Amino acid sequence: MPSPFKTRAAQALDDSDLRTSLTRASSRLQRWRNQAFDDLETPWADLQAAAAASRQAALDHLPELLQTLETRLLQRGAEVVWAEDGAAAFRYIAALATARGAERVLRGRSPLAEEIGLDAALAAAGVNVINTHFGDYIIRLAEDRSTHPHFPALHQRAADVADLFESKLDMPRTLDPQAMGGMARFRLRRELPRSEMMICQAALAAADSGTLALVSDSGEDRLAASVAQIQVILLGIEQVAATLEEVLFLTQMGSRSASGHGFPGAVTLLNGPVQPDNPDGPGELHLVIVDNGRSALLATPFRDVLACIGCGACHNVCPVNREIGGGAYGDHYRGPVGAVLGPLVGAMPSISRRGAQTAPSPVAAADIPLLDPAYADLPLASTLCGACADVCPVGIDLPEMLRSLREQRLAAKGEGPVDKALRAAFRWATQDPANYRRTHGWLRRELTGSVAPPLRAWQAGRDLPKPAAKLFRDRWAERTKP
Amino acid sequence: MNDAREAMLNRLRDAAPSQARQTVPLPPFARAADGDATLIDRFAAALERIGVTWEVTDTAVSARLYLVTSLQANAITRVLTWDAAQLPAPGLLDTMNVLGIETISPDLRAAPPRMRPQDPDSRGDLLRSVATIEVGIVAAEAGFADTGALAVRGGKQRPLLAAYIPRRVVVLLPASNIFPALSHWLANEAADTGEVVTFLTGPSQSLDLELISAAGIHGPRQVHVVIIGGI
Repeated sequence: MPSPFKTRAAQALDDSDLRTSLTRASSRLQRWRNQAFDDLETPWADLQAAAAASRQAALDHLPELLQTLETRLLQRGAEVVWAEDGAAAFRYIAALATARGAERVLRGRSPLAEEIGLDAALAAAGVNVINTHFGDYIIRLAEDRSTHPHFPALHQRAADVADLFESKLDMPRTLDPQAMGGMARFRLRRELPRSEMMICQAALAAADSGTLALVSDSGEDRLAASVAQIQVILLGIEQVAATLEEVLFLTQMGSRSASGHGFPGAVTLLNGPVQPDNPDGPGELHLVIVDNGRSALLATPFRDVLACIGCGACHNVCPVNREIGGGAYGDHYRGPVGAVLGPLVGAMPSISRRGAQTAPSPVAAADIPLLDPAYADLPLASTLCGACADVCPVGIDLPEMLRSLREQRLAAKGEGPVDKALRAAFRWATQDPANYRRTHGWLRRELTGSVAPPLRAWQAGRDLPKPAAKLFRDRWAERTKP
Repeated sequence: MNDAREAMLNRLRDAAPSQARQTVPLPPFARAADGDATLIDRFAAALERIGVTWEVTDTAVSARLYLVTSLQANAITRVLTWDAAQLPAPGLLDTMNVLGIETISPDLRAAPPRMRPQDPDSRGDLLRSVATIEVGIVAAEAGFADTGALAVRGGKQRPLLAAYIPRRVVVLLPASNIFPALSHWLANEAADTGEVVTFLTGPSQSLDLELISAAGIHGPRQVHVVIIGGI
């Protein structure tokens, strides 16, 4: 039986409209990103190296940075809560909502809230969650899943959203995004006076100044934070930098990488709850620092994935993600970075528990079990072309991590007869030039139609370019012939 | 949660190397095309790139004159704004009031939300009463010539709602508060991030539907900057 990932990927590949939308959107985002860096005097490599150094320095000093951040915020009257996992974060937030009588809460864009299933948990506890991000609002209305860290409804076509708004909001059908945005604006603003609590995620926090940076494209976080009296901010333990300068540098790297904007559409820096004489802004600020397996991940060879700043640039360039979209990856982890995080975060609780019982020690790659079958296949969703590493603003070597996870997956499940046959065939084809020629000719014939049974299932989800009519070495020989 | 704090910090300490933290040098985002253009020209060009209109006035007095004339020409009768002392154009609000333009500084402290059905909906009433105000006027702490972003500090007598609710927002910016880049402002000793600072980067824009821009969902559809010379 195919895994959940393979089933979803096959469904996505059958949806030609989806593939067209994704390819078009990804190409545009990639073009905007390239332009944003090409316009600069400073070479991309220097910017990437600085951003990578900043994130590495932060990962190396998380205890010190998080404690400094905590001290600064406590001094200004904020509450700081440390949550081992999603359940702990939910318990705190649900208890706070109950204590304050908040039956409706606003929720801004937050991949971390999605990861820990916060909306569903709050809904089950009787708290009505209102998504303020336009893309999230569409997804919620469509009962769909988000597919991109920055543009959760990237896969939705305007025509589908027009149908959705017509059926669920009684809006006369229109394909005008401005009109549909206006409807969302009306609906969301109607909720503002009724909601006393806002939940969002800090993109990053600055330890030295005790500043939380809320970043969004259209400004939903800052509007809701101005109106709601109680602000709850989620922060992954890795989302901290030493200085405010670094936070704002990384924020700009992120916005250029995500959508080509030199500066994000809306950034708000919160240094704590506002004073009682302020006319607006949150009088209460609760920072919830969430681990959820990250501290254990930091002790593994995959620690660098925690440097991610969530820009989504790797999604836009990945040839697999561009075909199947983020929805095929699963509920929370999407794109190339999700293909690394998904299997690992699922494996981390067992490592955390082991660390609590004995003296923790660095964990070798081979020690990490791929526990969650829902995500174990995600590392296969890559051609290992390296495009994701090229555009990553913080220089994460995702291809190497994906390769390593594949190695572990194979070691865990063992090499089957098909794997052995393919390995033997590859060895035979590449060990001798004559065999290589024969293989090349066979592939040219076979790839024009359906291939032989062992390869048919493998080929079903892949578009393979037909091999060139002539081998490179033959063309080279012809060109260099005197 | 204290147990969780210690457990999390212990795991982080065990995973972290022990070397001292180094300062990370950060390169600038200087644009290649800017060349030798003046600071104000670069700033104006950056504003145009992000869809912001602008006007330069010689003094605060001429800024006041320009603003009231523009408001009258557009038949604006109500404006959401800050207290007069927080705006770098002395006499602006008085002049508007004399000319029949009502100035409102929203204060949510005086309007608690309705927590129970039987409670009065004073916050709702306040927000509904200001929802149709077309123009907001605020001031910026700094403007950045590389990106056109504007740093607007909230605080006492400075409701940020004046920058978020109206469809058109006017930002007053002393010319001396224009910096080449954000890093220059942060390095300036006078930089004040207060309790809350928001960065306005043009009209509020959503690209959520097929990456086609929809403006003004969560903020202004138009942003206009008045650069005030002489201060």
